[in-house]
Amino acid sequence: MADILRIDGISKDFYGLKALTDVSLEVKDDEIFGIIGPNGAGKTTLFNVISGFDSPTAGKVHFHNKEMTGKGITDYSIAGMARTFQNIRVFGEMTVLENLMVGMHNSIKTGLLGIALGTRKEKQAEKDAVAGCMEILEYLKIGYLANEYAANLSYGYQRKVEIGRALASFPQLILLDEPSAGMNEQETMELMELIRGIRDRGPAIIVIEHNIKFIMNLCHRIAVLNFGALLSMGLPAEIRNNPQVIEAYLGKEED
Amino acid sequence: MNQNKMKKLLPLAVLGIAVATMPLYITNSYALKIICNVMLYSIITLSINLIVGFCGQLDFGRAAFAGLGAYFSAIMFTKVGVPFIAAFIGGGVFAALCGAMLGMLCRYTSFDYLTLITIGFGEIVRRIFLNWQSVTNGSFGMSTQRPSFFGVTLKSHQSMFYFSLVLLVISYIVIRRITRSKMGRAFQAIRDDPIAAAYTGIHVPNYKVICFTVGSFFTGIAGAAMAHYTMFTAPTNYTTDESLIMLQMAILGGLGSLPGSIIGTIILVVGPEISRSFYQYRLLFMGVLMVALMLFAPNGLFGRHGIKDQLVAYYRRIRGKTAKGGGNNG
Repeated sequence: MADILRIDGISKDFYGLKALTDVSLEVKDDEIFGIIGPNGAGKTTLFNVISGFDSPTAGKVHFHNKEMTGKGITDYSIAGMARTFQNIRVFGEMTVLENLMVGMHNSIKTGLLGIALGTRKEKQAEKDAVAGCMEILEYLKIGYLANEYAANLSYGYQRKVEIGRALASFPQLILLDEPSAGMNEQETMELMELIRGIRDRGPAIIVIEHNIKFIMNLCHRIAVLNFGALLSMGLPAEIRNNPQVIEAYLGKEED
Repeated sequence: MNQNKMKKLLPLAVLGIAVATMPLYITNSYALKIICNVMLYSIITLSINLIVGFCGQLDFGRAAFAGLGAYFSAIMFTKVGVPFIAAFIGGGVFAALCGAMLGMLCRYTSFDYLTLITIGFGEIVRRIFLNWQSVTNGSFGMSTQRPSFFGVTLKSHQSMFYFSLVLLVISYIVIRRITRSKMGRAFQAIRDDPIAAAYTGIHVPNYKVICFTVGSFFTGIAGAAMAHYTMFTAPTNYTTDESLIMLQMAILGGLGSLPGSIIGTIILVVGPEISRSFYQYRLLFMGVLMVALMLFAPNGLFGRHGIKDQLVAYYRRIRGKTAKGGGNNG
């Protein structure tokens, strides 16, 4: 299994405040990789660096064996990375279907002239895109919401729209930032099944989570961040029994 | 399926015939002139809707682009002697190039600064019209001629009516297609959430430039058509006040709704004409209207959650209540 993402010695300072120090890890192209850590450990900063939102102060990001450090967000997306957000970002004034079609943006090959003239090729491309997006919506079991405005949906459905939009860009890697936030037990279980299903469809997945149980059950490998540094990385069972991790989460045992 | 399509197309066909035969039952040349004005202004309003309503870039300098189109076309046609069609389309292309330039300058600029830049740009352009005497004839304005195709000059109001109508229909269809294409969705995504848009592979700065370019083309074309219709163009036509009135047409009609843009234009062109005797109060009336719109109906008549949506929802609620006897779903 090849590495889809490799980061080497990433550090990130915000005006002298060290958010990340020397973090290195690889993600394989068929795994669900978890990133956990206490509040303020630098999880979201790491995500922002991986996805090109922030450029690292030091270190390199390789995606698909191509160096991506310093490139814009759009380049990451075109290279095959998609993400969701901790505080949901759907296109509220657009319908659910349109949200997904925005995700499909780069697979619709039409130019301004084709659009202005309404050529048959353009119409066919649009039809194909609608069909492709509906297929994804059906897979997420929200096909019946296709023509609803995204702003009118509840939190859980908006999350699904975000995931759908990420899937619509046919990514090789999806970054999920706190996907189970605000969900109850039942919804969290369903989400776990969904994420597994998505992995089976193709893309590798990186998940940031607070919910330890969720991440232990879902992920193949886990990295633990603490104070901006990599504390431990390994299989869920290893992480669970690692004294350093337990200490970071629960505090040190008194002798 | 086919019958549904028929039902949808029938009102459109009736409207189309009613509009296309207008010169047959409206013979008053003053009325025809106003209708032409409505149609040409509508093209500008549609272009504003594309930039402000779909792409979310608040542009206060649209009149300048109408001016750029108008002056370019007038100079090319009248002074240089280029064939009308080339001068006219050239006016649109010239405005589009200026729009592309403005777009390039502020493709990384955030919302409110962009608005300030567009005001400044509009003022710069107007000053150029005013002071470049040798080319633009300064504050006296420039006279030009009616459109002519292959030796046939559109002298009558009727012929100008059809010229404007064809122009409006083509502009409407093209802008509608753009808004329903991947390009239009990219604009809307940028309006709703630029960060998420960038993460879905949309190059946000590039699309802003495209939006300004395409929008300015239509503004320029309409400006050029107006200049040839009135056979005159002067810097006073392209002030920031004028830009604001154009913007108001789009907001009144409802940002994001193309038919709304036309309705908004009709109201704000025909309204002041009907009340000619109150003409000096026109700006006061528009000011009050703007404040009222912003307070009570920021989405205009046909925008999402606009006055039409609210009325429809209200009607449904009332009907639901009487039908179910105070039903619980209302």
